[in-house]
Amino acid sequence: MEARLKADGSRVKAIGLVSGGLDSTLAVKVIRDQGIEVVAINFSTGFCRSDHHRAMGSFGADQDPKRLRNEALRAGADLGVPVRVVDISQDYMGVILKPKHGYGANMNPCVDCRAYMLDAARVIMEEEGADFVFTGEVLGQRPMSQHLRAMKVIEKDAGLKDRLLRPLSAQLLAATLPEREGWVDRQQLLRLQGRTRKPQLKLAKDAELKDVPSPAGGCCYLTDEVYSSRFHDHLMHLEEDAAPDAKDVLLMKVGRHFRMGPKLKLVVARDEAECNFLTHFFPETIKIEAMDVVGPLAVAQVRPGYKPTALECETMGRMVARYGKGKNEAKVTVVIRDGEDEEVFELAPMQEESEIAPFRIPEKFNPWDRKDGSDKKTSS
Amino acid sequence: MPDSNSAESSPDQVLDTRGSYCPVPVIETAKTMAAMEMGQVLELISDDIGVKLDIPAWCQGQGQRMLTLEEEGRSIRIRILKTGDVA
Repeated sequence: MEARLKADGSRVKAIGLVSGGLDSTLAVKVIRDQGIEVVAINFSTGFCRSDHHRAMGSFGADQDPKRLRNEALRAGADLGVPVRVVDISQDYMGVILKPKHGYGANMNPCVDCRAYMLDAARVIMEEEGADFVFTGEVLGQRPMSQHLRAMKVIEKDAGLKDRLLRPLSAQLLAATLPEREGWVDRQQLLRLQGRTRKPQLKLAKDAELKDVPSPAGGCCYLTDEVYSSRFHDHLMHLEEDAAPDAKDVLLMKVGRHFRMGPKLKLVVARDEAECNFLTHFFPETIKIEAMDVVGPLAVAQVRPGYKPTALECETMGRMVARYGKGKNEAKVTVVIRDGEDEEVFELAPMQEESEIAPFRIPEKFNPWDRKDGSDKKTSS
Repeated sequence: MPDSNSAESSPDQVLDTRGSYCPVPVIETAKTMAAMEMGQVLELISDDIGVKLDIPAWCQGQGQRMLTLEEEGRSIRIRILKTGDVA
């Protein structure tokens, strides 16, 4: 393939945002096929479901290779394009907590998220001396972030105006600088729009990209109702001006969650992989488990400095006992470990759902309950 | 070319990411490789089973050469020869 050059003789270079899904893989192919040098960027937000599936695989869960691989890296390998994985999880929290453009149906600030990623891509573009940034966005595909108005807001917020190319829908959009300058041949760009993925699937087939994951959407935990409910519960019980940290984000991905009090949450593992996960990532957290009978491990997450009361310990112990093999016993021995301290209780497992229900963090998320009282809901 | 690209000789650098999971091993591999000289060999040690798929894919996209991939219990050892710039 012939390298595409600018008027000064240097090769055209582009930064692509790549998830490894169908659209971003095709976008990379369309640009690469024009002889443009591509560096693909895969942002890691800490909220990616596939990252979590992969971690769980290492702890003994489902080890299907297709669920374990990073699709962006797979796309880079298939297309012969280098992929740089960039961790943005730390600064990204600010975007989630105060999204300028509001949330979608759950805790997903899609417009702000997109603008944040593109801004980060712009910085990389400038550092790399690249000419433009491109994405796999398709006009009208996603209700919140891929309609024309949102796409314009996003490119303005990211400071990328005129240097942001959407190769899959480019012919339906105004020509950008790379097209006007001839760095990209607009005639070879596409005019896809809408929610159907049939044209993309055909293009992938024609290009013999056999292993591209079928479009699933919603890789982000923040679009998930259960996760959003846990996330919101956590925000409601944080100290003023505190923000969730990486461990909090992790803990919300596993187990059954119970709100025991304003400063205390109980998380009970659902299987062995989750037990291993809790043991590995939460070595310092209070642990609760039944002795002598098989049962799950649970962790009690407390606000700094808070010590659960005797009644709270007993209630948590009874709940943990319920989820083990001793659930029908009159008494189960439960141990609570807090660092070096260890307390052992003889407890009757909780039997009635009506006893447990008040502690459950709801699995339904009501966007109207959001902490900021925001009624901004930008999805249609 | 130094003889460090043989699987038997010691690697020029060892990166142990055990206890860290996706995306840390890939990010750290890229960072370490970027600072290495062409022709040098990195040995990555990881207990993230995702690296068995991700590191070969990363190498292929980045134009690096993966020499070996071995498993010992939960540890995965991967040797990579630096054959190009890290993008």
